[in-house]
Amino acid sequence: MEKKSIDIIKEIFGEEDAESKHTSFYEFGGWRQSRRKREYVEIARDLVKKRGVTGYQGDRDDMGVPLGQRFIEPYYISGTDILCDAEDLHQINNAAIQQMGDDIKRTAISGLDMAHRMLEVRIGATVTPETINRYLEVANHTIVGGAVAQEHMAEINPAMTRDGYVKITTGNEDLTDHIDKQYLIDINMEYPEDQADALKEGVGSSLYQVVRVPTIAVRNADGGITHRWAANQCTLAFITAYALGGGSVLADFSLTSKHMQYVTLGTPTYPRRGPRGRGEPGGIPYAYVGDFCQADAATGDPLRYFLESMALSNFLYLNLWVNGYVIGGIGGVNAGAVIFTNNVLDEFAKHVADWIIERYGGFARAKPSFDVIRDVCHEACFHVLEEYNRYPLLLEHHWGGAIRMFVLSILGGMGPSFATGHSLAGMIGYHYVGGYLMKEAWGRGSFGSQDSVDHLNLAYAASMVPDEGLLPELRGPNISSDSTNAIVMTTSASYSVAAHAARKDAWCLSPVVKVAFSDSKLPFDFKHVRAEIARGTQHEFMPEGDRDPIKPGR
Amino acid sequence: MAEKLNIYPGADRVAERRRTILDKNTKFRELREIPDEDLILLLGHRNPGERYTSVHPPLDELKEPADPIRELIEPTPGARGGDRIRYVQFTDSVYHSPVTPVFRGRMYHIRYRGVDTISYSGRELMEVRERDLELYTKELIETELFDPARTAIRGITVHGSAMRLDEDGLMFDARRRYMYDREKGLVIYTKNQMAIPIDKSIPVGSPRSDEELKSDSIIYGLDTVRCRDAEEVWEVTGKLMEANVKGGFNPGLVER
Repeated sequence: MEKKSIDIIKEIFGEEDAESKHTSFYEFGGWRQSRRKREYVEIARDLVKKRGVTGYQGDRDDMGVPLGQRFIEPYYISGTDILCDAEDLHQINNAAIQQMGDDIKRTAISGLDMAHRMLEVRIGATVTPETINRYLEVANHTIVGGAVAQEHMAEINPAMTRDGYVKITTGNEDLTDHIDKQYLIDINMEYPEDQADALKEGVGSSLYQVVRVPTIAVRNADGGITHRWAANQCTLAFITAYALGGGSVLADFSLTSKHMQYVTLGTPTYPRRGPRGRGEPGGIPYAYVGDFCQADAATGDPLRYFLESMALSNFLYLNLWVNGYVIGGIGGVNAGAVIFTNNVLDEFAKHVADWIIERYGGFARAKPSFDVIRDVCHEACFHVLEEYNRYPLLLEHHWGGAIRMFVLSILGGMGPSFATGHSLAGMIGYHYVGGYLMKEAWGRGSFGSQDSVDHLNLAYAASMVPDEGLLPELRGPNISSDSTNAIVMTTSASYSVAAHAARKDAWCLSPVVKVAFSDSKLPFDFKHVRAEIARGTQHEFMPEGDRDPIKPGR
Repeated sequence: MAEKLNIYPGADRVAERRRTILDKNTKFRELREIPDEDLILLLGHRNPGERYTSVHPPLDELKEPADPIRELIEPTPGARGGDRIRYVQFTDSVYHSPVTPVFRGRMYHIRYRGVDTISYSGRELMEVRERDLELYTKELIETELFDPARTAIRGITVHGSAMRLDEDGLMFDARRRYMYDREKGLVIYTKNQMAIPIDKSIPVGSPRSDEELKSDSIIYGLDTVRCRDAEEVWEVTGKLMEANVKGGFNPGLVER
């Protein structure tokens, strides 16, 4: 292990010796040692006077466990020099985390080819670059709440919907040359040349529309509204732009434009998962994490891209889905923080990556086999456990089995995928580490029954039966058999992202989704996930979707 | 030919110790004596001398429906008496508590009857009829399975297993259920497992030395036997992983 992460941990603990097994407790001033907890106590004291009901009382020792008997360490966001408290990483306290989720939930992607064919063949309209530009102009009026077909509609204050828009993208450069640039996600502008070429080939000559419904829409409803909002408002734009009328023809066209080429980012979650509409985090396949994340466009380093993707995965599935939808209240913020703080996972991952390069001559060079899976997983797991042995301060920082399992399972998924470029090898390794290695090495699990999921998923690894499994890239929290938990949801993206990063693929699951999230007009910058979240911890991130324009005095 | 039970793979001392822990015939060394009254206070489920709370009449007084399983399985004393189900939970320090949660779970299943248990990273919960619980807990505290400094009885606020040790070598407890009496060299509990103060101090013995704990440790690592050197264990886990994947896909692919 490099020394940087150990130096960071010594710094945040204020200690010189990371190798001592002994320390002192009960002398840190309890809750007062935390800047945020001190702030919260003050805020709550004011609030109780205003609302007349007691609320937060973190200063009370008799409300359960006295807070702060051990040292409460702050966190550096990996890849940045931003230091924050754990509280800053809770999704309710961090506007960047919320916006990241909102930007995913409010994205509606649909193909326009079938709609255009309907216009030309069934209706007899002519579709040209000029009519497409005209349509986009109208759609950017309707999508933010402007009326087109009836005069007596209540319209929406554009300040409330200021971040809504409609753009298009395609790999057909003959067409993009004629599209108004304000409406174009230009693949050439967003990616390095090789990646742009691969993405253009992947997207092909088809034309895709990328709609961002206003953030306030998903904050007022949920991700399920996105498809409907986009479908209704864009169909109205078609009606206006192409002067459409009639009954049955219009019905057929509406069905086509709304639904026939719609790209579902997240399937509706089935009841046992907590039923939610489309586009919610619980229905999103893991491999889309690597398509949402654009760090590969910003850096040619597959490891950096992988780590940024893992951070995104943590915020999407742990903060927003598990903590936000499944649990509520507090939750596993500290546990997931190990994925993107204090450089620890970065250095563990680098060790495994370097080991793979030395052993196999590079990424994606080894032929997938059980021997390779065993080989890489043993190295990854034993290295991490030995570092915990070597540095008790690091082990104290990663004080729970779930915390350590976040690290180990990510490396278990990453290692075989990096070595082979094969996501199934990574997925098997992922569950091998979770099901067997930490448990037999230390005689400890993670949280209760955590490993049962890994055993189940090993048996389902190669299954394509819908009740059991899927291609690794298509798996997500929403596959059935209850074969998931918070750790599996948070870290399973590791094997798919690592496999495609190792192969230097331009995307993981969909070139269209990849391109859709490259748009630099998005409030959340998907090229720099960790830096954006770090800005959120400092209250420097400006989110969308607030109610400011309709608050008193506005 | 009678098969010999392997219990656990490996030829090193950690594996050997794991086999000892998991062998139902092992007679663990008694290192301390905890009076029954103190044990009941530590558990905190009833007062000393108080009768067991029943959730149903004694089985002998019940007319149960015919069931061949009832003929095969002898009820535990707690089940026969109709006791309610109660719990004990132990937290095991990574710094070589004599048992670890996963092996506690396996040992409980092998050694004790009528238990329900679950393994976490630092703790193991056991739920069982109350008088059986007291019987099992007595062995778990009085023998070499318990170290006063590295093992703790905690029903709530259980974390601390991977924290560094305090100045006296004790595992951290945010609820401060126990302290080290330096003069007497004893660990003293002043709260029960739910961290509710009890009106007497209960000594649970002297901590064993680091060397003793390491020599009896069932944890692979730099202090004991390196993980990488436990080759037979990883050979077995590797086989299990491969068999799981192949068997799930097509059972015919699994070697017999």
